[in-house]
Amino acid sequence: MLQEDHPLVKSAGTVSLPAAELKEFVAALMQKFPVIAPILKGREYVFAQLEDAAQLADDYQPTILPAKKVLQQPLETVFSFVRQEAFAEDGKCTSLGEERICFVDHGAAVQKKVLFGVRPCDVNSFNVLDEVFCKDLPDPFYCQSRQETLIVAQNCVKPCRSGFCYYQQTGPGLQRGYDLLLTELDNAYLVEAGSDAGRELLALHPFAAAAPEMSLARDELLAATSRRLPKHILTRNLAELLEENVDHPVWEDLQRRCLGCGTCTMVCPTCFCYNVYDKLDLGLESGVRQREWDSCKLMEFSQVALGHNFRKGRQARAQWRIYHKLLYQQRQFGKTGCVGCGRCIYSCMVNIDLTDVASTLGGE
Amino acid sequence: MSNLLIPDSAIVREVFHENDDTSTFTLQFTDAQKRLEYTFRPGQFNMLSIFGVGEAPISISSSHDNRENFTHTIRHVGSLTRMFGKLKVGDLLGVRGPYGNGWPFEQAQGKNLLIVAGGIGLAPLRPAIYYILRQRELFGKVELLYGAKNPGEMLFRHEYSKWAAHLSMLLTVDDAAGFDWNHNQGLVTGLFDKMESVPENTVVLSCGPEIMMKHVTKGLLARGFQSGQLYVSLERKMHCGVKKCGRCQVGSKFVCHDGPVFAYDVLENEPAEIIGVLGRE
Amino acid sequence: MSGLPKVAIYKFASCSGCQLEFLNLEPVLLDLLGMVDIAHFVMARSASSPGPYDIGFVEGSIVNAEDVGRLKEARAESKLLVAIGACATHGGLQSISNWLPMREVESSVYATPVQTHPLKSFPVSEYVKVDASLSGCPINKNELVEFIKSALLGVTPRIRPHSVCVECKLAENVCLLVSEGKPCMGPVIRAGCSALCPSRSTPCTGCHGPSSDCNVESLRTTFAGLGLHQSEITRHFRKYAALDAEFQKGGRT
Repeated sequence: MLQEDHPLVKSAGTVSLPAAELKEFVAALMQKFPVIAPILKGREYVFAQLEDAAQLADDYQPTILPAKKVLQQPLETVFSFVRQEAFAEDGKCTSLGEERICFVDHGAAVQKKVLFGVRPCDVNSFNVLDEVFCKDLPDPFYCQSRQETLIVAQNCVKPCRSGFCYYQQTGPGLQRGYDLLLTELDNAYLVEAGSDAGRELLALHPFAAAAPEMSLARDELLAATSRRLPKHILTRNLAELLEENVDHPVWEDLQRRCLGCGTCTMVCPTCFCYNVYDKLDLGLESGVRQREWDSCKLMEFSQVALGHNFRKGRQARAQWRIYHKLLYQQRQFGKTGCVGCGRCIYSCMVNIDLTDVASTLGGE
Repeated sequence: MSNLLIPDSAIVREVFHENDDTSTFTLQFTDAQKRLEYTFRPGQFNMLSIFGVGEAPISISSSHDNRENFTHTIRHVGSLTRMFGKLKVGDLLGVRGPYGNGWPFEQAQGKNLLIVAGGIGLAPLRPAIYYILRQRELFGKVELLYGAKNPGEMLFRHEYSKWAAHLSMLLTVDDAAGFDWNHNQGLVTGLFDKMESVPENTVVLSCGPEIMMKHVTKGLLARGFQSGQLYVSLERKMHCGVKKCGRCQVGSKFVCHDGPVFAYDVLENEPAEIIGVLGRE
Repeated sequence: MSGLPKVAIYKFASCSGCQLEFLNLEPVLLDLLGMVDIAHFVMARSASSPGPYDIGFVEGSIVNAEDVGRLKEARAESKLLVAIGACATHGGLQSISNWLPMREVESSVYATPVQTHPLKSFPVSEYVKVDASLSGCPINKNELVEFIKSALLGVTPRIRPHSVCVECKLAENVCLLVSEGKPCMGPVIRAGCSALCPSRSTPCTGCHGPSSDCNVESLRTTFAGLGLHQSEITRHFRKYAALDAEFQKGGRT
C-alpha cells in the first residue's frame, strides 16, 4: 500500500500506464481479486472472469450481455428449502408438530472482485440499477455484489458500432461511478482514481506520473468520439412526443416487424425485470426458489391467473419497451432508462432501432 | 443485508369455504415475535408461498385490528391458487408482507364513502369495511355496491346483515337462475341509477376485474364525480412485492409499491393499450 | 404393483428417440421409479400391466387408420394424455411428406409399390384431446422431469412458451443470425432446450415447434434478406411443424 506522502497519492490519483504494461497491471489485479473483463467469444465479446491477463480484450465492441450480468446474474437462487427433520446448519427453520421447513439464504457471502474495462454506458447503467435494487427495501443479491465490486472503467476513445451515449449523457467519457478510469492515449493509458479504493489499486503497479497534456488529449479524443458516434437520438421534447403519439403509425410498423423474441431486453443494461419460480428436487421434499431475467417482450409477461393478459398484443409489448426505456424509467428513478449502448439495435434481427422511432416521432 | 425475499412461516388455523371455488384462510405466524410485530393497513397485500409451487400477491381480507391472525380470501383459479385450495388446517405456508399502500383513509375521513366491488374484489375491501364499522363516526354516508356472477359467488354473505346496520348496501348479480334472489340483476354499474351517493364530498373505493372498474370510473365520471375522488385497486402479476421484479409496472408506477390503490387521476392519462385496461383510450 | 401413479408410454410413427429419453434419464431414473409405476413401456419392459393409467405419454405421429384406433384406446385409458416429441406434437419430420404427392413419397421410400395405406402425418391432437405437450426432437429431459414432478404435485409444469432467443441470450451465445448471417429459426421456436444447437454454433432448425405469438412473416422477410430463396425459407418452416397454423403462413410456397 502506498504511503500517504507517496507522490501518486498526493497527485490525487492520476497516473500514466504505458500501453505495453496494461496486461501487467491486470495480472497484478488478478493476484488480489477475481478480475472480470471483456474477452473474445467467436466474433463477439463477453464479460468473463480472466484466467490469464492475455485474454483481456482491451479494444472491444459492446459485449453480448451487459456488464449488469455480474451484479444481477441471469439466474440466481434466492433461497433453498427443505422439509425434513435432519436438516440443520445455518438454515432458518420452522417446526410445527410433524411439519418442519427450513430455509437457506443464498444472498450472503459475496466475494470482492474487479470489473475491468467496463464502458461508460455500462457504468451508467449501474447508477440506474442502484435506484431499482438498492433504494427502499434493498435487494441483497444486487446490492452486496455492487458493494463488493471495484470498477475499473474504460473511456471510449473510438465510437462503437451502434452507440449514441453522448446524446444520453452517458458517454463516451465517464464522469463518476468508477474506482479507476482508463483512457487509451497514443502509447499510454491515462489512469484516474475516482475513490479511495481506486487509489489503493494504484499501489499494485509502478505507475508513472501523468503528464498534464494527457488530460487535454483525453478531452480531445472524447470530444472526437462524440462527434463520430454512429447513431444519435432525438432528445428534445421526446417525453412529450411519446405522450402525444401513442397511436402513431410507427408502432404498427414495429408490431409488423417485431419477432417478439425478447432479445432486445435480454441485452439491455438497464432492464431489471425478473421471473421467479420454484424448482423441486425429485423427492418433492426440497428445492430452490430461483429468479431469472425476464422480458416484457414475451407474451406471458403480463398474464394473470384467470388468463387475462394486460399486454397481449405484440404492438403493446413493443411499444411498452420503448415507452419504458425513454419515458417511464426516467420518471420512476430520475435517470434515463436508456444509456445509449446500442445493444438492442445491434442485436435486433429485424433492425428495430429506438433512435429511428424517436426520429420518426419527431418528424425527422 | 437480510434476504427480504425469504418468507416467514404461517400456519393455517381455519379454512372457510365461501363458495365452490373460493375459500378464506385464517393464518397465524408461527413465530411469536413476528405475530407481535406484524401490522397492516386495509387494502394491503401479502406475498403467499407454497414451497415448491410458487408465490403470488394476495390481498388481506381481515380486520387490521386483529393482531393474532389475519385472513386471505383466495379464488382457486390458477395453478398456484388451486394448490391453496388444497390447504388444510395445520398446514404451513410462506408469508411476506404487508406490501402496498392500502385504501386512502386519510383523504376519506369526514367524507361520504361509496364502495363499488365486483366478485373477488370484495376481499381487499372487507378490511376497509371493518375499519369503517369500527369508527363509523369518522365518516358520513357509506354505501356499498356489490356485484357478482350469481348469488352463490357472493363473498362474506353471512356478514351482510351486520354491515347493513351501519351502511347502505345494494347487491346485484348477472344471473340469479336457481337462487332465491330478491335483490338486483345486471352489472354493478346498473346500480348507479339506484344509489343514493352523490359526487359532493364523497370518496369512491373500487375493486374488481379491471374491465368492471373501467366501466365504474366511466359511469361515475359521467355522473359528475371527479377522477381524483375515485380510488381503484389494481391486480397485476408480481414476483417480488418490493418494486424490483418489474412485473407490475403500470406506466411509471409500480402496483406493488405505489399501489395497489390508485387515485384514478394518476391513471386516466396513461395510454390504456400499453398499461392494461384502465387509462386513456 | 403398488399405489404409485401408473404411467404408459405409447409409440406411433416415430424413431423412438423420445422414448429413449426416458431411459436416458439414468441419473434420476431410479428416483423416478420410486415415484411412478411405469406400467406399459414396450421398449424397456417385457411385461405390461393393463390400464387405466394416470399418465399416458404418446410418441409419434398418426399416419394411418390403425394408428387412429390405437390412439383412441390410449386416450380412453389415460387420465392425462401427453404428446411427446415433434412427431406427436406437430407431425414431425415425416409431415414433410404431407406436401408431396403420396405416390412420389411411396416410390421414393419403397422399391416396389406396397400396400401401406398411409394417411398424411398428423399430430396426436388432430384426433384426440391432448392434456399437455412436450415438443422437441427429441424431447428435452429436463422438461420431461419437470412435467412428471408437476403432474405428481398437481400443478402446471413450467414449460417455456417463449422463443429460443431468451435461453440463447441467457447462455450469452454469439447470435448466429445477427453476427454470422445464418438462418436460425430460434426467434420463432419454443425454448426449453437451453438453446442446445446455437450453443454449439449450429442454427436452430426448429424441432420444438412455434413459440408463443411468433412472427413468421417477419422472420421470412429476414431470411430473404440473408439471400435465401423462397423455397428454401419454406423448407425451414416445413421441417417439423408444418401443420401448425402459424407455420403454415411461413410454409407457403
